[in-house]
Amino acid sequence: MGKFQSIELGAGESEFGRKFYPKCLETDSDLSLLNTNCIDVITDAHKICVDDGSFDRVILCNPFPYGFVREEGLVLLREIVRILKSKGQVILIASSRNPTCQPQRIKQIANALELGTDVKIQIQVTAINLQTQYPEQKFYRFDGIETKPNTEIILQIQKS
Amino acid sequence: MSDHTLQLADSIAKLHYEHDFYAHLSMLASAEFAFNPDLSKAGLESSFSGFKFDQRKYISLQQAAFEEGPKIESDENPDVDWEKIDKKVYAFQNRLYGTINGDLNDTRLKKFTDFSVKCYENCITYESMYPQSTSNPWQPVVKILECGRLLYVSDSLNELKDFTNNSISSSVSKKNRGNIGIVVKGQAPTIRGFVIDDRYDIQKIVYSFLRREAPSHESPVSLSKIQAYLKTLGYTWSIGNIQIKITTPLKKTGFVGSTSKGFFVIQTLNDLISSYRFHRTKVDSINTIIEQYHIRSREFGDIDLQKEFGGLTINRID
Repeated sequence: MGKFQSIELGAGESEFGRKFYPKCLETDSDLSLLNTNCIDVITDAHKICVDDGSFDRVILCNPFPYGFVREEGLVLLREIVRILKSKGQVILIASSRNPTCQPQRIKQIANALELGTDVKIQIQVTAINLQTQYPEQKFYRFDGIETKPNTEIILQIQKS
Repeated sequence: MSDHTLQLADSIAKLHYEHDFYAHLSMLASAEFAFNPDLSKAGLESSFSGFKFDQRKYISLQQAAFEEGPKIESDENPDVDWEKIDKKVYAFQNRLYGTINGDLNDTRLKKFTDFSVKCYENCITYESMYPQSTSNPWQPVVKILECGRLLYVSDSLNELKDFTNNSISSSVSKKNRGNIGIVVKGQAPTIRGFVIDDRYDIQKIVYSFLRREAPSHESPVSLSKIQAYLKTLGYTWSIGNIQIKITTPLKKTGFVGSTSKGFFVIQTLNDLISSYRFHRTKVDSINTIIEQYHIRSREFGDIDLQKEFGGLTINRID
């Protein structure tokens, strides 16, 4: 995995990571995407089949129904922290109405993860304009219908 | 949902959950009329021929219900207390676990409890996001839970067959394979369920037909014309079935109207007024009947008819 700097989880067919972050490994758990050119590796976001400390950046685009909710969210964030290098970031492109991508929930999960560990997480939330920031990029739901996220949540993660 | 202790039911007969599950799916599917631009184009019947209400569609419609809510709801709460929602979900989960006599780590049972808790979570999340909503898509499935039945949904026929000891397989026609199915469980270990039919596929076909043939209240099409049109596509449905499974759910989206002359797409204020007037008259007439029943109830003692009927509707007035 050495040649990749970033990894996109649940990438589907949008190839967002590949277009905006060079050297991005595209992954998804959907086996039907195996023979498409969109996906490099099939893997579950809660049990990512890569070594610890492999990436600078983890990208997620509007995950649903999985995401940052209670225990399942903690498992997801713990796994993301595991595969990030000592200083890494998570880029979460989300709809502000997606229940699995709510900053309040992410903060709570981040606090739970920080407890008793040497991990520090900072969260930054900004509104995005798709047309100017990600022109010509389309985001899709699981059934292939277009969705329009409006928020970018960045988690700066530091492990000592 | 009330906070009292849950109790699993003895009966898992289909009549106890079939209507509510379809109501849940109809609310999810109907919302798509508000935000799927493809549906607003006329003459798209052919592109719907491969429509499947599978797990992908089910998950996507749930996501869309949350994200596109403002297009179909009258209000939106910008300050949702997510911590409060999580606390309520934990409390519900504990109450649910308290009702179950069995190994909570059992893989099969866990699928039921996880899915049931998720339904509850989605319901209170939607309620918090859109407090004035009268069409919370998860309200009907929470009703199934409140009536003591755990539920689980899948589009894997093998999984559904396995859950139900093959009882489900004989009832699934070829055209419905690949659609999601629901399985429910009460007090007893027996599990029953069914795979949904192709009504959502046909709803889209009929909607598209109405866009083309009945674009206003001045050009309505009758039920018999819809029936004849469906017949040309190979669907031989009775008028009653078309009403229950197709036109009434379409009307509930707010995008299709009707008068005594037939059905049409609501695109202008005049279309809306025309359909409103027709339905308002029906409601007023029904209210008169209900009033008469309240008056007659005095003959049978001091009873509250509203309480007596217990929320179970047999003949739905659509």
